[in-house]
Amino acid sequence: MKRFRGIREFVKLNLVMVFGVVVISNIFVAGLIGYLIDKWTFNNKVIFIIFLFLGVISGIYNGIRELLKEAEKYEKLDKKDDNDDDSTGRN
Amino acid sequence: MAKKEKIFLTVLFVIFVVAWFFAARSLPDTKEAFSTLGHRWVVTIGNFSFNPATIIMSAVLTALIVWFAVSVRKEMKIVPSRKQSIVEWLFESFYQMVEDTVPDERFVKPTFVVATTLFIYIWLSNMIGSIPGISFVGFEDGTLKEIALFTDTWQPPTADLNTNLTYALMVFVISHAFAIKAKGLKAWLKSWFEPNPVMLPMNVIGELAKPLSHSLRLFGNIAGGGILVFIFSYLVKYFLLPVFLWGFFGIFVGTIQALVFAILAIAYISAQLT
Repeated sequence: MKRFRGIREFVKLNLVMVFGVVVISNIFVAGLIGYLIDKWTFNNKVIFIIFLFLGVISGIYNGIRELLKEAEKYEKLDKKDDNDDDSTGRN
Repeated sequence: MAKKEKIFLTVLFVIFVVAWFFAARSLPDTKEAFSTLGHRWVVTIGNFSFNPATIIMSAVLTALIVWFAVSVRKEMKIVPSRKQSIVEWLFESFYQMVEDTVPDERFVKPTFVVATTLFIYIWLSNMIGSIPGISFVGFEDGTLKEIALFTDTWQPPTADLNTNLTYALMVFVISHAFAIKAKGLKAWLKSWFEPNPVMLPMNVIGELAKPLSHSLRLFGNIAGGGILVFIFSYLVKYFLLPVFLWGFFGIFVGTIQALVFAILAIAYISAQLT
């Protein structure tokens, strides 16, 4: 995997955007679902607001989960590369 | 650099500046130039409205890719030619990446096919966003104003949200289909109630947000980049800067975003399999 390290450094730039995009898209989807349910039921915006809050919670939950997962993945891959370097004696 | 070349380049630059000076004076004023900003040509047939520029460019790109693939297939040798080695390098890199990420061996090859296809298509379509060419300028209501030659880049299909959303939804459906196949329907249904049943709405919203963030990320980068380049280019009256900006947003951002789109596709599929 050593020769893909260059590409991987490049892709790590994406981590900057991950959290923000996940939070915003979660709020957006929750808001949309809430708006549609609200329109078809009571039509008094209560469900819409409840779903917006759900979206915020879900966004932060999923955002942090995704960040942790990505960080863990890169850590594991980098460690694997280091081990490969040690065992073959190459740098 | 030899003295001759220096003189040649200096003369070329002076000619460019003089030509630019005369050309810049004929540019439309700010209000008129920005009146078409971000508007697209939209054709409506019945209930179905679409952007013909996207469809034309998609078809051209698909034909290009198919032609390239056939030409590589025809000249396949044990000692690879330059074309073949590029393709082999690309496929090998992606196969390795998929192999490292996807836990289930049965799904390595299908995931590899999906991710690599997406990468090649999206990379190429981002790439044409860095080449000046024919662009279709529309009014606010979607009618065609003019077909402009060399004032903007070719229109990348990925600057249209419909294209990106199609691919993102495709990845979404594929990932869940693989999950049902790998874990069985019961285990898949149970995965929505993890870590506990209270989290069901969070899980549903989180899953539905995936294709949205997946597609909007690419769309925002490419379409936003296009608009930014248009504005900056106008502000400097198309003096030198557009070349750099087209290169930056087309080649650099385009490559990163294509790679990110493919890697996220792999990640979403593998996340469903674990």
